Amino acid sequence: MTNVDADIAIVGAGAAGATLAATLAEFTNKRIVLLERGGYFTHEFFDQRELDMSLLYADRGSRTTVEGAIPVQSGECVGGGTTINYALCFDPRQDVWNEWKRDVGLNGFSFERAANDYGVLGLNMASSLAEVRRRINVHSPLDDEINGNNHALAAGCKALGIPTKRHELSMIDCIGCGYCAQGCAYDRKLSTMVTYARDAQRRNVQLIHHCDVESIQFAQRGATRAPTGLAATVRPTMSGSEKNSVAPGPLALAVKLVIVCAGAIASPALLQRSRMPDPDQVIGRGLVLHPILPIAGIFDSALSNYRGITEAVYSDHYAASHGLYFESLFRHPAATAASLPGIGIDQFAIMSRYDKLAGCAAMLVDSSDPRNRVIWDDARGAPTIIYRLSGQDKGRLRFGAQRGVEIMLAAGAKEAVLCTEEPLGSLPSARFSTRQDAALCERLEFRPCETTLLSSQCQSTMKMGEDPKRCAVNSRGESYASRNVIVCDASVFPTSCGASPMLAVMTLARYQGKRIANELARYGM
Amino acid sequence: MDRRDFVLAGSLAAAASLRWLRQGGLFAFADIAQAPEPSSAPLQEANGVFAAIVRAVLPFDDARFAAITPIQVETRANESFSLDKDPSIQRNLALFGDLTQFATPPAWVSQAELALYPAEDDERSGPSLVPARESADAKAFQTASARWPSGTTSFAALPLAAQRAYLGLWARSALGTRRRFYQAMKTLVMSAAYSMDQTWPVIGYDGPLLHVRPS
Repeated sequence: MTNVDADIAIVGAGAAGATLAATLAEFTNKRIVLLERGGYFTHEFFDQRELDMSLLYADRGSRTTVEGAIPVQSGECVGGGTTINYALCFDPRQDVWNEWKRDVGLNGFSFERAANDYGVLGLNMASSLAEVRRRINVHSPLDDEINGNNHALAAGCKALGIPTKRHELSMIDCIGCGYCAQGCAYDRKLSTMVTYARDAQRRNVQLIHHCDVESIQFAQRGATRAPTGLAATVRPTMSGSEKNSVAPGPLALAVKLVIVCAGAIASPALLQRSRMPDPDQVIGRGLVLHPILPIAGIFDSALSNYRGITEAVYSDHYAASHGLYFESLFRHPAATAASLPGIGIDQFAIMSRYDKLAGCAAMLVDSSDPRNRVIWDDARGAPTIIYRLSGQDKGRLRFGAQRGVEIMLAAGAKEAVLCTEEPLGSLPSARFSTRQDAALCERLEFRPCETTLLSSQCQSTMKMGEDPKRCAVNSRGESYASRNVIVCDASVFPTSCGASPMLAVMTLARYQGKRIANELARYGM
Repeated sequence: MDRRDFVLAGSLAAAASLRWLRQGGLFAFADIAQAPEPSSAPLQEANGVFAAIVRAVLPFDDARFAAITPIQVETRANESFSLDKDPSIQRNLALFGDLTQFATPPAWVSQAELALYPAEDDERSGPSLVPARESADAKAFQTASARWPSGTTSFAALPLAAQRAYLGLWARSALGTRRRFYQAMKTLVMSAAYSMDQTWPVIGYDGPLLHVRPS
């Protein structure tokens, strides 16, 4: 048994946890431990192979909704999702945060630069965002960094009169290898693994990876409940990982403040495992997945779209009306073959032209339905993820499918392909040559395990707000069920944050880190 | 842990399929006492079933795909995913391979369907009750199998075109558990095949760029 004494434990070293650890270390002299379930893999380990790099993902990529219909991908490594994402940066959407202020009575989170939230000098969203943007070099890619795939999306949209925009990305001098999702082998993507996690370590934060946190332990004094520590197990370090700071085996952490940053699946799961009181059954409920429907186009000439910046162009033209973003998407061969419709020579007619494929996706900002939820299953030792698309969201995805097919055809594709086995009217498989064919998307049923849907942006399972009946934590991220337990990650968003969430999560973490550093007395420190 | 173990643990696309199969797959809701034992005759044919699935899922009938052989894919899949050593996966393959079980699926399939694939308000496929789904499958099987050699009771013995049609019945089955099995098999076979460097030139994929890693 290893015993570690600290003031603050942060569970999860991803977008939120690493940023928070670095921020707290910058503004306090408290003893901080940063815990990560996955390993600590750095650029030398990333070999750009789909199969090998699955160990950077939660449960090695095996996490899905209960029917197996939608993979629910998150990063499980130092850097978390930022190690395996496409570095998309969307500023926190002020309209969404204002809506949350109205709906659940959020305090703080001022977007004015002059605001001093909670009486803390300079504490506001605008300054936190500016600091994060600077640290991870948020910028738009240059014209010569746009690959053929992104040009295809832009051209298809333009032909249909749909305006497009250029993503902002957290990279520096990208070489365009196309393997963001397998970890950047060149340290050109500024994940929190190469930024805030290292800042934190330089400021003496103790990083413990390969660490399974089993539960938060509490003491009850009168009506007040407060954590005394964490029970955890450190697994042996996998080969290829950096060394760990403690030996493998059971780990007992004595801490005063626990900050949960494990993401929208693992955060509620940890609190459920810890038997956190939940009288109104809000923990884990309202899961948002941002389901992604891939659409491919078959072109005449070689495009080699697996190279270059994978996502550089998008359209939010249908975001307000349909909750849909159109974005670039390209995947490596094994994942592509597993998704393209059909088998045998029928599928090979598409797969043999892999280098002539372009891909885009319709990403749905889905509604937060309390029936969609995460439940920790003690027997299996894993979370059960219950998620079904609402009728309305299916309708939006049908529209997204049709528009996506039209975009690919307008971009010059000879055929557009949907990754579905569903029969669509007269079509023998989901391959579309004309706009008339595209209208058949109206028939899509989205039965589970028939159409490829992806997801990697889970949110909203530990909602923040000032109504304890509907929310799990208050505006400060503090649990309603226990003192000195804070949740700070995408799970606290009351609904979808309305875009790819990384930068909103990091801004939130920077903001809460600065707030906590100025309110230590509130936590008995 | 050896580097090779990472690969054995499964690919991103394949990991979910493997996990489901290992935890029971089609048998997840079965009373395992009633399920066939790993030593029974149908299970000994499970390897033959997987070999036939590999040949049906991949385009070996296209000359351009000659870069790899079915045996290589089988070997890689078994090495990577231990399909041949897992009794649960073997049981699943045996059930899939037995054509006589399709029209009247075992009772636990209905239980799994009820538990995991509840009727939805906007379901367009008519009455969304499990018996209706089962009879839709039975009807589709009757239509498809009318064109197959009569008396064939095993998937492995069907001609290639009929094997693909049978896989198609699973792909588009009214039962969610069957669609999931199809997706699992397709994912495992595709992952095994397209993670082999030899298949990459066939499809115009240049592979990893690491040889130009800047210093």
